[in-house]
Amino acid sequence: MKKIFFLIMAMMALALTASAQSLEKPNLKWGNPTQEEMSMTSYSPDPEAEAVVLCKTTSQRYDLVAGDFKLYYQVKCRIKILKNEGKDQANIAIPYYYNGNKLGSREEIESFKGTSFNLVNGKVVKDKVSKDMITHEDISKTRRVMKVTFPKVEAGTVIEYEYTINSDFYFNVRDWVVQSSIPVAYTSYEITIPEWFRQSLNMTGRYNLDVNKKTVNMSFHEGTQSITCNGERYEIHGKNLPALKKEPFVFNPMVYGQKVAFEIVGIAIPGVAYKSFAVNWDDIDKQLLNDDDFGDVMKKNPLKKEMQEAGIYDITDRTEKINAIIRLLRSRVKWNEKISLSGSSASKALKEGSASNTTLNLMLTAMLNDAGIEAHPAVLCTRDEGPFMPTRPSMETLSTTVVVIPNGQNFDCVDCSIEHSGINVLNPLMVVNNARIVHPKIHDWWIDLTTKSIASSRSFITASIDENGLVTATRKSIYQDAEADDIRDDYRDAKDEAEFLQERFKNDNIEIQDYSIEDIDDFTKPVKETMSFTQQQTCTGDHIYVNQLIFPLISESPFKSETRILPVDLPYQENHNISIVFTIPDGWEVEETPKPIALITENNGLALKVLSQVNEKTINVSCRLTNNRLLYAPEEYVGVKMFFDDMQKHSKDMIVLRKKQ
Amino acid sequence: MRTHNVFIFLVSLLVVTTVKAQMIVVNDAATVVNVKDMTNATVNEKLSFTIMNERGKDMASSAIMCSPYEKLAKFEGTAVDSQGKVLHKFKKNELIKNELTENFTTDVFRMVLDYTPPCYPITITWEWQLDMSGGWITYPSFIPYPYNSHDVKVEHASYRLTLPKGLDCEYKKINFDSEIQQSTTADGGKEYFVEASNLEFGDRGSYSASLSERVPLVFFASPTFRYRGVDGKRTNWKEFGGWIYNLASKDFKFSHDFERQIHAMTDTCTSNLSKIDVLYRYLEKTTRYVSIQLGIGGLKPLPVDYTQKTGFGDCKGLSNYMRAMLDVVGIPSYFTIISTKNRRLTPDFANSNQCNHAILCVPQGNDTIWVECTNPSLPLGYVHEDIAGHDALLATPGGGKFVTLPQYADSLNLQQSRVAVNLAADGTASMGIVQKSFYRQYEDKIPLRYFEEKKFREKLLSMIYAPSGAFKTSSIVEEKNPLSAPCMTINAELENIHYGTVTGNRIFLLANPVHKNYRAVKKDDKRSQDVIIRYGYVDEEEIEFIIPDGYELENKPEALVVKEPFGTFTWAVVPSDKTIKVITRLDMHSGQWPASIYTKIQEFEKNVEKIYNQRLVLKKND
Repeated sequence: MKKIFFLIMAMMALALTASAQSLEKPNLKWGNPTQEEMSMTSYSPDPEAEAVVLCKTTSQRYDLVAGDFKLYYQVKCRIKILKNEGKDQANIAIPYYYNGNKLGSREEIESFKGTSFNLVNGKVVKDKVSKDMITHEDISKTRRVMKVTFPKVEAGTVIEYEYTINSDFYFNVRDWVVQSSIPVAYTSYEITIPEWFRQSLNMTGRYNLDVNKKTVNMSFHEGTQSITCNGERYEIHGKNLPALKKEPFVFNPMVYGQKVAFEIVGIAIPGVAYKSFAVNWDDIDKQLLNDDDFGDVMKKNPLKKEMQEAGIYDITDRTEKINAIIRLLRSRVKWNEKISLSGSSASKALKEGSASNTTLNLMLTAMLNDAGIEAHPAVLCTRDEGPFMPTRPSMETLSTTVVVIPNGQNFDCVDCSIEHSGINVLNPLMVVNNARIVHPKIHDWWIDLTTKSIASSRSFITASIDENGLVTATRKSIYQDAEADDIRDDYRDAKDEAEFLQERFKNDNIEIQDYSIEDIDDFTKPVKETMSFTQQQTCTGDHIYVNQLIFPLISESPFKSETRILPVDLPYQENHNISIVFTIPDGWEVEETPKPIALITENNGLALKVLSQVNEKTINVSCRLTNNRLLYAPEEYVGVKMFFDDMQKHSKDMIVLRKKQ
Repeated sequence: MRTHNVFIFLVSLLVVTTVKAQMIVVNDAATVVNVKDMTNATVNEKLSFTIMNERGKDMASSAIMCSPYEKLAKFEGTAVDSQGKVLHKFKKNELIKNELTENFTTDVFRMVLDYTPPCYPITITWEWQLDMSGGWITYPSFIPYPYNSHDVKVEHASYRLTLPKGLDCEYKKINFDSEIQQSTTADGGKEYFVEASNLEFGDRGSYSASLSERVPLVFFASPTFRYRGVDGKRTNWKEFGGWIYNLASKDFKFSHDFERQIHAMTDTCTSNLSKIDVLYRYLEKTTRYVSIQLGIGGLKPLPVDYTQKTGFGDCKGLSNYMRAMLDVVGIPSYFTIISTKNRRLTPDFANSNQCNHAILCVPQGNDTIWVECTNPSLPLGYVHEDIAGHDALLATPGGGKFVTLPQYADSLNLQQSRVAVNLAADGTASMGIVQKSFYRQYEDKIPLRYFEEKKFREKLLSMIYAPSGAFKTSSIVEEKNPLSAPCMTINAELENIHYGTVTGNRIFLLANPVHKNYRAVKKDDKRSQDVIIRYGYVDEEEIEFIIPDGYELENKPEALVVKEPFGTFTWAVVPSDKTIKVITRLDMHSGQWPASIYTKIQEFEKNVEKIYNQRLVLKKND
């Protein structure tokens, strides 16, 4: 199991970034671009495209060679270069798995052929990719990439290539990634899976692909013998798929791209014992719990002696105990900046002093359980991978873990890739709706992490305005959970406090007189900030204009585009409260205040309320900003954009004071 | 604002370490170079450093550049905590070979070590040996501060070079005063020893020389060399340039067919300039940049007919290809090497270490046309930011020529904006903007030219203050004619902008929508470095607000003129019946001043920032 587990992990890292194809009627003849393809100057569904995949076919074929199965992955592709900027589309990279000469676990790229086609004086001229235009580079001990640089490429060129990857990993069908950074006019995929290989199909994306499935006869030849079986044949076609482009607040556009994945469920070769791969979540739980590098790591407390010495077993307060354990583990092992699903042994981690988040999470689970605090690992798919569907059990779609600590009806969570905060602060990539608790007895225990890692803050400002428009103020703030973590990170990243302050208040136009920040290093407490400062507001002699919020909520909306293709991924739920008390100078009065603000997006997502209340000598301003959702569909974009636009606008709302006559 | 890619073509043989972090103390760095003969040497490095805190953790991972001629023979080391406990022993097999580069092809690869310290402070010591077998142009250099960060302190670094009898050496010190100790070895060879201590470079600070221009270096080289089998001399730039010329002039012949094609393209041209332009446009149309690090350690351009056949090349290949095309039509030009990082080369010490780029120099009577062949979408002859004012070496048939490229006058780097804002009583506005940018400011705008409309508009909204504005039209037009002022014109019309903020009877307006990202340089009370303004420019705006009926300007900001040696700023607000005009002009001058002027620049810029963010207050008439 373990070997396959790792091979699958290794294969996941090889996600192909290639692409697909087509026009109304795709030209499926290779080596002969049509007149239309040669002379086209733009691609009408995307007139600005720098290049387009005209036609791409992908097929995977099983064969029996020397008593072992092989998988042949064949790609044929034709790309039209439309602009100078698109010339780089003629540099292609094909990653593959290469384990030296180790038989039975390698891939080879066979028979690469590539040609550039150009129209010269009305005639099609071909230039072939020669050997010197192909290189292979090692990325690691087991991964390589083949790079091809096509000759004679200019705006107008059509390139074509084909290759076959001959793979020993017959149990692992490469994902078909349909979209890329350029649009795809036509693309197709076919595979015939022998009945012996039980595969489950998983198709994701926003576009409809045309899927044909039928049962066919297959035969394999080995010497003079031949074997026949039934096979499932899939033929999938797609047309006019748009380019996938990065937009602000998207962790990874590929998550929303069209993808077809097969996951092996089992191998039933006649005469060989049935080999089952994960079929349902329970199987996956079992598989993980029995794995040396997962279940075994959390079986035994690796720091029992140290916990005894530190008196951790005697701590009665639950939170205090959890924090003590986290602190002890951190003091012994650092996170090595790797986020993974699989761990490694605790003794190795202790020896090296660093380990992946999951190794640490599993060690933490063991320590907590040993201290009488129930804890379990939960597996999940990070927000830059996926999409993740709980209805499709699959080890491959999982990417990492967090630790879940049940607390009565509720629960807390911890992840060791967060180094400077404690309970209930997660990396935004892990703030997902569905994480599955890996438990030996309780099945189908799913939890929602989106309500767990919240950015929250509370600020109180007292400000007095003098008759020259100078605001002298103090601010006391408390930052919690994800918000505190952000500040802790900023503080650490800055060279010193001066640089931290410079960056933190760069848009606020204030002069700081006094500043202190507490508990920046104590992850068990919120961060407390106290400051006094002045801010010069505009004064004309008989009028003073004061920004009622002093600190603009945002200086600029991050959403500038009028349209949106992909959903909006926000990092955290948010909850911020600000309350300000202004004292106005003697002999002055309030002439005008802004209207109250109440903004809200549909379906209870983002909300902002600002209210000012004028008393005789003071003005009270209260502001509350909340976000209850992380994912907004493209259809909701207009509302989200409007919310941020309005928030920016109201960030500058002014109070007008006038000198009493 | 940076706009150009840097196309690097030379390879450093030393450890490449980029440090994002702070607080690293290099306790000792020792380089021992044992030269066996003209082409073989061993380089033993020992590096011992302490990472004081988490911010320095990247330094614990490293990469050693290797090649078929530079082989890693040994690598070992330890990581020790502050109590002296050994936490880790490094072994050679921990290093992972990684050939992946941005390059299409290269024979250089990295041996990568990935290590996460379990605690801080931690002291790491590495010792390794590189066996060199393919010769060199200069011996390995003494680089006591090879870090791309200001947050490292080097306590001690030393370098020893031992040469066998018969091999000579000369050296060049840069930013370095200490003596080089020379002695004779037992078998009659020469030995050089040099050390440096307590190197620290404070903060970078705005308007200052880059670290690479400040760090000490000592180059060592023999007057003659044999590099990858090719003999050469380098006692002066003339000789070395001749060597480069010879490399660039091998494989310099096209097929007759292609020569005929070149003639067909150019024979009807009436001037050399138009011939050069036709061929430059041809270069743009038919080639693309692909990094290639092959051939004499990355110094020899690939054969010109190969570049012609493939349509791709690196900066050397493309420059030499252009040179060969010009040669066919009888226009002489010179292959030129230059650094995109360092403005100055050493006039009295020829070497290839300092350069990382190649361009073409085309002398035309009294004029010289500098041709950037790696990015032919630039206007012909445009001297871009990464090379303007830099030293360069022309490889001419008569040998090398040391030259300095020109730099455009400050006043030419002009950005002119004309903005009309038509404001409604609810604070919303429509806006029309025409912005023309010339020379360096043109260069800054080049990336916009290649964006798709959606991204272009997003980018415009991040440059110009027009919150939530909806575009009616937008365009960007590039004017680039050979040797004439390059200009980028941005045109946009927007509506429904949340321009003003309304409170009761008042509307508050940002007076200048063009400079919302302008920030004064940071205060720095301890400034000790000279102030260097690399290039000057002029920003000019004329903004007309058409205000809603019944409103008038309540605050009347006074006009302002500030004149300083490094810049001039003028500002005026001119209200009339229905409109308010805001006129702004900022002139920044290039130059170098003593550190003491920094405070003045900071105050000056703070003033500019304040004015750019000034708000006008409109009030409804009673």
